[in-house]
Amino acid sequence: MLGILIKKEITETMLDLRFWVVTALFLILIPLGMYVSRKDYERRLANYQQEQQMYRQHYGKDVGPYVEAQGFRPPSLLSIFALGLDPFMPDKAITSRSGLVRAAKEPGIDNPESLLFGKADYLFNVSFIVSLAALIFTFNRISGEREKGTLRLMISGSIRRGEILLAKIVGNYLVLLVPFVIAFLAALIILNASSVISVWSSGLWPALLVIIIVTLLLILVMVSLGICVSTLTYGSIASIMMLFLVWIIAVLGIPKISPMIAEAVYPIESRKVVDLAARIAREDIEGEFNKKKEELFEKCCTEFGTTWEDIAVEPRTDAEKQAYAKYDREVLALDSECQKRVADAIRKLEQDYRNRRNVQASLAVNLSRISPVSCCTYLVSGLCGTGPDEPDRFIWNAERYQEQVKAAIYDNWVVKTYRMGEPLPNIRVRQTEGFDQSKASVPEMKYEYTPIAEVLRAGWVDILLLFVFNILFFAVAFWRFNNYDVR
Amino acid sequence: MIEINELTKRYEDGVLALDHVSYAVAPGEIFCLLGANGAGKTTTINILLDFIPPTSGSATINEHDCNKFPLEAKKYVSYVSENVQLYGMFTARQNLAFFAELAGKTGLKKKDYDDVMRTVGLPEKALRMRLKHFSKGMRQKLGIAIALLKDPPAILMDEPTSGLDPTSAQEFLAQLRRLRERGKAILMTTHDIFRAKLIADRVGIMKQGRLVAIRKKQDFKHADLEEIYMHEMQAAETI
Repeated sequence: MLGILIKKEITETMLDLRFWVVTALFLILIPLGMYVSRKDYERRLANYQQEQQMYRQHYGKDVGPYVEAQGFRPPSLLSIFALGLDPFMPDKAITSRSGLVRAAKEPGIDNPESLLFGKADYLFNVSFIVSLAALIFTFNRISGEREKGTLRLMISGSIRRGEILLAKIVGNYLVLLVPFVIAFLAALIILNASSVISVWSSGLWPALLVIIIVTLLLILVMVSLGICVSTLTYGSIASIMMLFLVWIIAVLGIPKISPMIAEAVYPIESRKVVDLAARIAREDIEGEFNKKKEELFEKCCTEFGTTWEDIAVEPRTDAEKQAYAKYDREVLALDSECQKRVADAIRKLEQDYRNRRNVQASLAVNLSRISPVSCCTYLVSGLCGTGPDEPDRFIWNAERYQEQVKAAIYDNWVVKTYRMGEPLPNIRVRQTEGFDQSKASVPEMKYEYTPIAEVLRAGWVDILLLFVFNILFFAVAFWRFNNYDVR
Repeated sequence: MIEINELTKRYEDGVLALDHVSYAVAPGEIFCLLGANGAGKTTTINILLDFIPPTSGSATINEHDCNKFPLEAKKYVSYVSENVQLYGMFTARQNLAFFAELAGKTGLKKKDYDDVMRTVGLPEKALRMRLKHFSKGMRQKLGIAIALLKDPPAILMDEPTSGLDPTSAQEFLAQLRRLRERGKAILMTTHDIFRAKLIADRVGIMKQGRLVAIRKKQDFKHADLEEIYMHEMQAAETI
């Protein structure tokens, strides 16, 4: 019985004009979106390679004690599918001797219009076009049949209403998959035609598989939602109005309003304020230690019978040399303590900010998860390395790079500050033993995007929610349809 | 075959659509329900098809309660509505095949479809036509064809002659006679007293949810059924 009903749904839908319009739309938009995204990725990859090469050629041997090494973030291969936060992500990490690494993004946008209107990548096509198509396919499958009178005739037979409902979901789902799968395969062929991308590469296909599964789940959710909408109304006009209301709320409303609600409910200061607070904290601590160094310097000079004002840059007398030697030994502890306190203070500020930002982000994410489109967006963008967790991932990579540069360069230089204040501090720099500056080079940043397993571990709730949405919409539709007035 | 026993239906808004109605339709009998709009004729059919539940009383088809065991009961019945609506984008054959398969009649051959089309007076070439090109009369005939293919012992018809031209209506009546000869129990609601007189074995006259009278063929065969109908309606008014 179910097979007969599914066959009828498939035949009926394929004879409908909507099927051909949707097929044409999918066949144009999905491959075209993939082509444009591929080109965009190739351009970003070329820019990354060129920038890194130029940097290495011109500054790769600059391994001085105060060098600010630059580590470049390569574009994520999977960002072809979901550009996500990529345009807003820092391009490079810049290290410093103080232990603080900062992110940098070149000012200016190459193509501002594309950001203004959003890019038609795979995720956009799935979230907006495919989800709308699923609702358009299904919104009047029950109410429309009631309106035509065919539902009455069908239910006059010995058929369970649940079977009719299930057939409508399965039939419409299968029919919608036909143009989607064809368009997706065409898109993959376009992707594979690139000289720098292989669909079968180990970095691509496992994530691609998960993306396909998530997409298929989302389509099923939207089909179930469409059928559910159809059981809530008694005519096509009412159904289409409800369809647009539901679509606007699910696709445009909830994902956009949730972060705004989170900001209003749990406001936090901006990144600039935190950066300024960190700078002030560093200057305060360094000022405090500069005074201590001056006092130490004065104490050393007094101990050996010389006054600090008389000391020139280079010690000349025995007293000066002895004073310098003592200071040289004792200032190391102060420098080390100063660095530790600066690092601790900044780390605390950063951690506080990150904790509060995480609370706000969690609130926004959890609120927006009311919409199945948001669940899909979080998962797919996470897999593509362009999701909301990626800024933290960048910081993790940048801090790792800072450690790498510290071990390769900064630790090979001993820097001592002898005299503070005006006109200039008196700083002595020397290399550690065994460090050959001519052979050393600036290390390259090995950027690691979040592995699939980690994304799935963090995103299991989204997968679960997609299943829950399916069950929920089917349950509501089932309950409604069993009480549906077919007269 | 079809039994209505003290059937009552009161809608949520308080309207009493059926008031303790009882009658039965035997195999090989055509029972016509007559009455004005809102008399409760269609409500009876809606309860028999489990579109709505009764408030009290029972309706059975082949001894299966339509409310308690609707799937069982509906195995023995076909339904022809006032305005047969089928799938417009399907051909006649696709429509026939779909509804026949739903009734468990699988594996039908071209000859079966040709035969049923001939029986209801539709040309065989109409099998390949899409339903959206069918006239109302053709759709009604196809509705009968579906009922024939399903071949159940009981048939429910809700105003089936409404909107049919005289020729189509005549053909339709001829079809009903053939069904009766095949032993089908037919319950038909209608406003058409003239055709009810021609075809019915018994008529039931309904007013405001009550079955005010049942008349056998011999009561109206040589009398004016319209006069009987009006008389019963007036008599019901005075009660």
